[in-house]
Amino acid sequence: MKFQSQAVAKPYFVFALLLFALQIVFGLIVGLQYVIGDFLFPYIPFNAARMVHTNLLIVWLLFGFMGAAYYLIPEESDVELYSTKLANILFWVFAAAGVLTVAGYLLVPYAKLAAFTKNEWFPTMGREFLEQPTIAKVGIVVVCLGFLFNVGMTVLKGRKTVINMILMTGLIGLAVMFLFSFYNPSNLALDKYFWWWVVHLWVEGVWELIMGSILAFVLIKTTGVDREVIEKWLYVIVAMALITGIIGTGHHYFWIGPKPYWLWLGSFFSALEPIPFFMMTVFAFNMVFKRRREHPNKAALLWAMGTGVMAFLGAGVWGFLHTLAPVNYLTHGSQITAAHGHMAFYGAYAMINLTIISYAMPIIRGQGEAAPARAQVVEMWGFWLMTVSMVFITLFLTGAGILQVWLQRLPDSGDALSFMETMDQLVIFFWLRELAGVAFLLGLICYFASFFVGEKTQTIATVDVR
Amino acid sequence: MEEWVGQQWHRWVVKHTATGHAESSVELADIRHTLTALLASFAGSKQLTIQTAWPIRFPHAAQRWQFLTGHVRHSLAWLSSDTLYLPAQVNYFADAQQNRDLYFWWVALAAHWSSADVSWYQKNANAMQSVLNHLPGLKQRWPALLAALLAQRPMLSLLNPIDAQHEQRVQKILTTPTFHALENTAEVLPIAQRFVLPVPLWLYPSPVADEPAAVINETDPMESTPNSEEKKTIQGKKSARRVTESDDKHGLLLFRLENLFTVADWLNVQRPEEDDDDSSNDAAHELDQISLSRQPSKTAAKVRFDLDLPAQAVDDLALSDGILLPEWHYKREQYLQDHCCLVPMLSREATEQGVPEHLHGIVRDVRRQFKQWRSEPIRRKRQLDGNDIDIQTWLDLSTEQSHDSVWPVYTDRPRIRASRSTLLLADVSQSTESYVNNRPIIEGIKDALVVFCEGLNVIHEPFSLYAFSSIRRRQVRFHLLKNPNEPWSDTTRGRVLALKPGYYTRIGAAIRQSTKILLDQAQQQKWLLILTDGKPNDVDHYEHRYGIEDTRKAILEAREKGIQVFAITLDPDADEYAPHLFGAEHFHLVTKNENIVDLLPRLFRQLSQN
Repeated sequence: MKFQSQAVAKPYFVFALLLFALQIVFGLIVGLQYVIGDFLFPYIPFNAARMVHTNLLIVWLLFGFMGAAYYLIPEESDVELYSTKLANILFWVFAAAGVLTVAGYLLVPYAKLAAFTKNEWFPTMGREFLEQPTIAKVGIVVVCLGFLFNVGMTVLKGRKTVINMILMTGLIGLAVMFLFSFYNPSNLALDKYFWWWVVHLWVEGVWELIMGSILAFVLIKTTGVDREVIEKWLYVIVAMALITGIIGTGHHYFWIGPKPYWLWLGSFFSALEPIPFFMMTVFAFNMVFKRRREHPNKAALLWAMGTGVMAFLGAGVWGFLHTLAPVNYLTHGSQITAAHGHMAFYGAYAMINLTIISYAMPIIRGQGEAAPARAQVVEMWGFWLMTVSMVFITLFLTGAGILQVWLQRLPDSGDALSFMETMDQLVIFFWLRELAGVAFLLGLICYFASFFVGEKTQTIATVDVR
Repeated sequence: MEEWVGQQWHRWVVKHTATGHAESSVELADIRHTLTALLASFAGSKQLTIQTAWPIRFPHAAQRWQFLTGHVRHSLAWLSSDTLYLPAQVNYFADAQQNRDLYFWWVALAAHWSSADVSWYQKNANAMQSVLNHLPGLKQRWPALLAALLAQRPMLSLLNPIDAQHEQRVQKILTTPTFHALENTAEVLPIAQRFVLPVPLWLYPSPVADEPAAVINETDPMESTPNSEEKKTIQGKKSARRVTESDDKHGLLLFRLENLFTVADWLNVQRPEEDDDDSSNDAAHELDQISLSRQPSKTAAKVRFDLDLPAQAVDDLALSDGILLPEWHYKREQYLQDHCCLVPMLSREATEQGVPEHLHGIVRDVRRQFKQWRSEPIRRKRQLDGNDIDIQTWLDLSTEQSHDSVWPVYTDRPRIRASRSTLLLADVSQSTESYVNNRPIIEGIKDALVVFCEGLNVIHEPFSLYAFSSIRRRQVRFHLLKNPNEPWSDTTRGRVLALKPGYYTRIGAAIRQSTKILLDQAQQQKWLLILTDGKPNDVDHYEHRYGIEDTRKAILEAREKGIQVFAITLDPDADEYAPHLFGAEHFHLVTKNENIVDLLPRLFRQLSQN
C-alpha cells in the first residue's frame, strides 16, 4: 500500500461482503416464498424478507463504494487520508445504523417500527427501497457527509486527477440525490415522480460515475496503460452516461401521470442508455488487450472485464428490452423488470465492488500485489458460478415475464388471467430461478473460501513409501 | 468612536496614576559596565551575570487607581541562582542619583545574598544588613534612600488589617535592618491575598524558568521572511513561552462564539496578514508574555482549489516565484515574451540514498567501463616532436653514436580533450507512470539516470541533471536534481530516486532554461541530452505543430549558442517528428529490446568519440 491510511478500507470491504452474504440468504428466502407462500410465515413474512433483501443490497453497495473511495483516493491524490479516525468512527456508526434497521425490519411489524421511530413526525417510510425509518435515513446522511468531508479534504490537499474528480462528483451526487428520499409528497404521482430522482439518478446516473472511475483505477493499476488514454475513455463514458441518463429518467414517467411527451423523451434517451455500458465493456477489453504489463492479479482482471460484460447485458441489453414505451406498456412491473433489475445490479454495481475488493484486498492484507495462484483459481470459480447463475436467474425470470405478459397483459380483458392465476402458471420458472439462486450461493461460498486459501505449501502431501 | 473615548480615558487615568519620575530615570545600558565590574568585585567567588528584567505585574495591596489602568507593572530586580536581572530603566525617585544608587544597591544585595532557608523577608533583611556592614559607601547614602523609600510606602490606615500587618513588617525591616529571626519571635504573619507594594530596593525571586528552551528547527523554506528593514524591535525583553501548535483538526467548533478576542488570547487562527506591523508591535508591548509557536504553513498552503496541483504543503518545494521565458509562435513567427513561468523545484520527499541494491552490479560495470575509456593514454616516447624531452632516448642515442640527423628525443601525449559540460534533461511527465517491459517507465528512467551519473562521476566529468514536467504555461516545473557545481552525492542520488510522474510536457521552456544554465558554464564544449518519452504536449494549445515548432526553435537557439543537443526518446512513434525536431543524426529511439540503463552510458561514449 502506498499509504497506511488506505487500510481503513478493510473493515468496509469485510462488512460489505458479510452483508452481501446475508442479502443472498434473504434472497433465497424470498425466492422460496414465491413458490411456498407461507414459508417462514409469520416469523419472516414476505414483505419483511423483501425489505431486508433490497435494503441489504443498497447498504452493502454503499459500504463497498466507501471502502473503494478510501482505498483509491489517497493513492490517486498522493497524500494520506485526511482522518483515519473519522473513517473508523463513521464505519461503526453506519454499521450500527444498518444492523439496527435490518433488525427493526425483522423483529417488529413494519407499522410498529414506524410508530416506534416516530415516523409520524416526518414521514419518509413506506416507499420501496426507502423503507428505512426516518432516523436511519438521517443517520445515513450524516455518515455520507462525514465521508464526503473526509475524502474531499484528502482530494483538496493532494493531486486532483480525473479519476479522483469523477469519483468525488459521483459521491457528492449520491449524497445529494439521497436527500430526495426525505421529500415525500402526499400526491401519489408526485411521490413516484420524485422517488425516481433517488433511484434512477442513482443507478443510471451518479453511480455510473462511481463505477466508471473505480473501473478506470483498476485498469490503470493492472494494465499499466498510459493514464491519459484511460482518462479520455472515462470522460467520454461518464459524459454519455449523464447525457443519456438524466433525461432518460423519463422512462419511469410513462404511466404515473405526467404529460405524454415523456413517452418520447424517455424512450429516446433511455434507448441510448446502453451506450456508456457498451463503452465500458469495450474500454475494459481494449485496455486489457493493450496492457503493458502482466499483473499477477488475474482474478481482478477477470472481474473487471466481467463487470463490463454483465453490466452491458443486464443494464444495457435487458434494460433496452423493456425501455421503449410501447413495450413497457405491456411489461411494466412484470417479471421482466425483476430479470433486468437482478442482472443490472449484479453486473454493474455488485461486480464493480467485487472487482475493487479483488484488486485491493491482497494489498491491504499484505499478500502482495495478488493473492496466491490457488486462491485466485478458487476466486475465479466463484466468479463464474455467480455470474452464470445470475444469467440463468435472469433468463428464467425473463421466461416467466414473457409468459406473464402473454397470459395477463396481452389478451383482452375478458380472456386475460388474473395476477394470481398467472403466478400459478409461472411456478416452474420460479422453481428454476430458485435453483439458480442456490447455485449463486454456492458461487458466493466459493468466493468467500478464496480468501482463506493459502500458498501451495499449505497442502500436506502424503507419499506412500513402498 | 468607542475606541477614541477609550483611548482618552486610558490616557487620563494613566497620567493621574503614574508614579514614575520620567525626567530622572536612569538606564541600565548606561551603567551596565560599571555594574558588572562592581558585581564581580562584591560577589567574589559567586558567579553572577547581569541580565535585563522586564516589567512584570502582580496584584499588590496599593492604590486602587492602579488596578483600573492596568498599570500595575513594576520594574523590579530579580535574582536567580546564577543571574541577576535588573530593570532596563529605573525612575522610582525624583532624584536621579538615588535611582542610580538603586542599581548599586541591587548589585550589592545580590552579592551578599545568602541562600539560607529563611523567609524572603528575612533574606532581604539579612542581605541589607550585610551590605550596610560591609560597604560603608552605600551606608553613607542609605538614610536619604531610606527616606525616599518610606515616602513611597502606603499609609497603614488605608490598607486592610492583614495587608497592614505585612506592610508594617516591611517598614520595620527597612528601618531596622538588624531585625532578626522572624521565625524566632513566633510572629507568624497571617496569609495575605495580595503582595505588599513592591519594595524597589529588594531582590525578588526570578520568574524565569530554568529549563532550557527547546531547540528551534531550521526554518521551513516555505515561510516568507519578513523584510528586516520594517521590523521594529521591542525595547527590553519579554517573557516568552513556547507552545505547541494546536492541531487544528481537533474540535468541531468551526468558529468562536465570542466576537472579541483579547490581545493575549492565542488562537490558532490562520488568517492572511491584514494586521500592519504597528499594531502587532503595540500588541507585543502590551503583552506580558509572548507565546511562540511554529506555524509552518498557512491555510492556503494546506488546501488548494486549483484543479491540477496538490496543496503547497504536500507539493514539492518551489525555490522561486518563477523565471519567465519566451515561447515561439510558429504562425506569427515571433516570440511571445514572458509567456511561460518556469519554477525551479526541489523534491520534498528526497532523502539521502546510496546506490540501490538492484543497480550495484551494473553501476560497478559502468564505472569500470568509463574509467577504462577515460584512462590516460600512455605517454608516447621517441617522438620527433613533443612537449617534453625524452631523456632516456637521448641517452640511448648518445651512447649509441647514432648517425641520424634528427633525433626523436621528445615525448608526447595525445592532445588533451577539450573540457565539456553535460546537462541531462529528463522528461518526467504523467505518461512515465505507464509500463514498459513490466516496469513503470519512471523506474527505468531513474535507474538509467543513477547509473549514468555514477559513471560520469567516477571520471570527474562535469555534468548537471534536471527533470521537468509542466502544467500549462504558468508552471513549468523544473526539478533540480544536480546543479553543475554540486558534487554527486547521496543527496543528489536521493533526489533522482524521489522522482515521481508529473504532469505534461512543455519541452521548449525547459530547453531554454537548460541553455541558460549551460551558457553559464566555463567549459568549452556544452552538451544538452534530452530524455523524453513523448511529444511536446501540454493542456493548453501547446501540442501538435505548435508544440513541435516551439521545441524546435528552442533547440535551434541552443545550437546557435554552441550547445550540442541530443535526444533519447522512448516514444515508439518518434520517427514521425523527432527528425524534424532534433535532426536525423541527433536522436536515438529506444526500441523495445534495448534497455535504457545500458544505452545511456554507451550512447554517451559514442557521442564523445564523434
